[in-house]
Amino acid sequence: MSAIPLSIETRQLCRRFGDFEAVRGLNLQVPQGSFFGFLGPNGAGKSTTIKMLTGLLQPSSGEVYLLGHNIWQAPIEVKRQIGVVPEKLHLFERLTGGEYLEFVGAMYGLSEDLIQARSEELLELMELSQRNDRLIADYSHGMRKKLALAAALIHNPRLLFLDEPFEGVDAVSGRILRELLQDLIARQVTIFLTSHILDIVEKLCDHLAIIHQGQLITAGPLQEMLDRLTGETPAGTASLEEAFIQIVGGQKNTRQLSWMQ
Amino acid sequence: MDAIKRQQFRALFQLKWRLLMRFWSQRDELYRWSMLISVGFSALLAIALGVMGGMLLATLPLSPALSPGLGNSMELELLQYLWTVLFLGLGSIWMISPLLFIIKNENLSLDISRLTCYPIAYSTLHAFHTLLAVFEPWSLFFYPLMIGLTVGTVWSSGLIALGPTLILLGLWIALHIAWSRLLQDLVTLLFSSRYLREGLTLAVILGVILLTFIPALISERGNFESLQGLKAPTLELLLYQWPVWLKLQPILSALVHGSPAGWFVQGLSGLQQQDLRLWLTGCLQLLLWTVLAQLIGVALLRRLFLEPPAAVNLPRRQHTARLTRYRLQWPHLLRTLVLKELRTFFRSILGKLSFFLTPLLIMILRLVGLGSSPIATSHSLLLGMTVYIFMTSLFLYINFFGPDQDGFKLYLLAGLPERSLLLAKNLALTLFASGQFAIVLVLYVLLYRTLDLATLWFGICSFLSLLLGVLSMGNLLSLRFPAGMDLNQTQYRQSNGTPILLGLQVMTLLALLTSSPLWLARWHQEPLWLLSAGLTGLMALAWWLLLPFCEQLLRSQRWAILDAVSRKD
Repeated sequence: MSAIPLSIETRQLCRRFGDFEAVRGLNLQVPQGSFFGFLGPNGAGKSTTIKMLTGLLQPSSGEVYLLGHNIWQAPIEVKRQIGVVPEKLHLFERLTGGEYLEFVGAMYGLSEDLIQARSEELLELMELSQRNDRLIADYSHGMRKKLALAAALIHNPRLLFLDEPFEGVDAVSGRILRELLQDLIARQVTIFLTSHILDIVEKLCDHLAIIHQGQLITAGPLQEMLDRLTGETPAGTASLEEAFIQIVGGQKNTRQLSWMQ
Repeated sequence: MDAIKRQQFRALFQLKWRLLMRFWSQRDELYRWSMLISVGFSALLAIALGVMGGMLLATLPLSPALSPGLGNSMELELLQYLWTVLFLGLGSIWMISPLLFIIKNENLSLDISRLTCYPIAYSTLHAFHTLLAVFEPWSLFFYPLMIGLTVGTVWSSGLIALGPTLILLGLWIALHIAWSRLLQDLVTLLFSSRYLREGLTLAVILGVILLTFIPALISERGNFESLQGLKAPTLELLLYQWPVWLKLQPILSALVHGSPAGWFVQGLSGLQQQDLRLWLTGCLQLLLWTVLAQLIGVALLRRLFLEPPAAVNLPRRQHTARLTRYRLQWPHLLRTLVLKELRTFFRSILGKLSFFLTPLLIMILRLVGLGSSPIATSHSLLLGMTVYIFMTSLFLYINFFGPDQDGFKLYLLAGLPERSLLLAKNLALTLFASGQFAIVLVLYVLLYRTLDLATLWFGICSFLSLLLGVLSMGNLLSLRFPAGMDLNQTQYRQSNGTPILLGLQVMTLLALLTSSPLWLARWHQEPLWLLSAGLTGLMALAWWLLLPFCEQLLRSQRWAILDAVSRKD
């Protein structure tokens, strides 16, 4: 058992859909204040796991503890302390950014004054305040991602779940998001992130877990994992991408299209 | 209710209000006026129906104390049964109507599954979920109907006090809204396979249709020949002439005492008799069942969101592939588009459902004996069946870009000629409807009468006239009121009421127009075949003349259509 307090702990977490087992006996430990990368190829069970961790999907068996509470026994108390940016953002397109934050703030029971103050600050930080009168339907993809992150932060969560937050985000917005997330880590907020952009994961995360076909393949501090792999490779160096491909058993496809040669 | 819950409720209703206001403010004048006219017309129709029903209700007493004209208790019982069946039919249609509306317009609705990530209790969420149903378009037809019913009843009978009547009505409405939500959630939960879900929905629809035809069935089955010479068949005579009533009596009696419609009728009887106990019993039963629906609903909603049915539909053999693989001898582009449309229809739940609904309805109507009366002429019978074809698949005609969704981008990127696109949509729907019509003709011969050449000619002309009229209307409505539509989903979809209502109203006029050769031939002694052919020619001309305008409209509206059909919110 780790002595460091844990923000997330799962015990033998499983989820079945009929005969299909999406997640199998997952045991995860995410230390408090860590930037935790959760990786896996498409269909590995990442989104199912995040849904179970955030109380959106009932596990078939196993337990989930967030910030010391079992989310399935005290869902409302736990949800008040976590923020979620899902892969599909589910924003209400016919609201403005400000109205959306106002709605989300009210859902978390914040006072009107507090919502107003935090919304202005968040919109300013995300560079969305110039477009506050525009509907979300008119936002670009990157703007939507930033707004979703702003909404996930409005109630000052202690634990943040980010499902593919950098997908479709341009370099400028990406930098803003990265800096913001690093700032949150400095303030002891735990971040649980999934991403297919391994460069970003390598730069941001200090802990990592890789899931494949519903099973946890490896987990631990990122540097330890890279050091271990570096020792195993003939060249003596390993990037996260190489490590990931090696772990999940990916192969290079060298076939070419017949009419494009 | 604690402060946070109150705040959450306020925020949720504010959200709903804002979404509605945005939806309204972002529509153009044409849309708003169309919406007002269609909603107004439907409301007037519902009120008129309600008033007539109410007057009838007041005229036919439900209690012995108020029925000096009626001879025995059996007649009164029969009246109670009739009213129970009527209200049961109405209530069932109300409850399943959300399952029937499929045109996606989530600007009007609120997908509450999006709210589950917030710290909100399922009881709050469910209460909100149910309350939202009060304002949803599928309920809006029933309110004027119920108001009309009250007005009609009070107008015709001074015996019923307005206050208690409104309480009773309010409870009846609340019960239906609550159980309607429950039914939607239950269907979604129980049937993880869309095929099964749609099958169940179809079964429920057919059940309700059967139920509502019971009174008609009785009148058709009654031995009217033996009643000849009488001024009017009395209820007592009907009972003797149709002994099935007696066999049905235990079931009907159970319905009176154990169904919402029965309790409602009990409450009304209480009001007519000025029997407070009877009225109170009816009210309490309605209230209890509403509360029960709420309690079950919370558990069901929780289960629905936290343990969603696996969205796995096993691959099915595509029997229709053979059908659509047949090479149509049209230009390549047109052929490709038409086949794509037909594949979309035949490989989707709603496409299949609408294709087979008319034949199924015809078979059921024959089973219950409707249409077999010699009063119905061969022509009018066939025309009625043809109208059914378009009524049951109207949603395909009034929004034919809806199922394209993101595919519409491809049309624009590929620079597809507008005329080809419109022609392909029209041709695909023509083939779709022709298939239905062919089945209808076969059923007509098998189940009803032999098909002589004159009737066949009239049937074909009527079908073509209706088709051309519906296509013309469909072209305009599809271009002016596009909305994303998933032909494989019926759950949590909100009706875009305006085009549906406009479509139904135009459809009624078209049906009248198509029947015009029948009465013109009768009044002016003109040959029917010529009149039918003339009307078809006129409709074809109208469709053809309208096509360039629609082409221009498509050109000017293409970005708006793309935005509307590909919108995901």
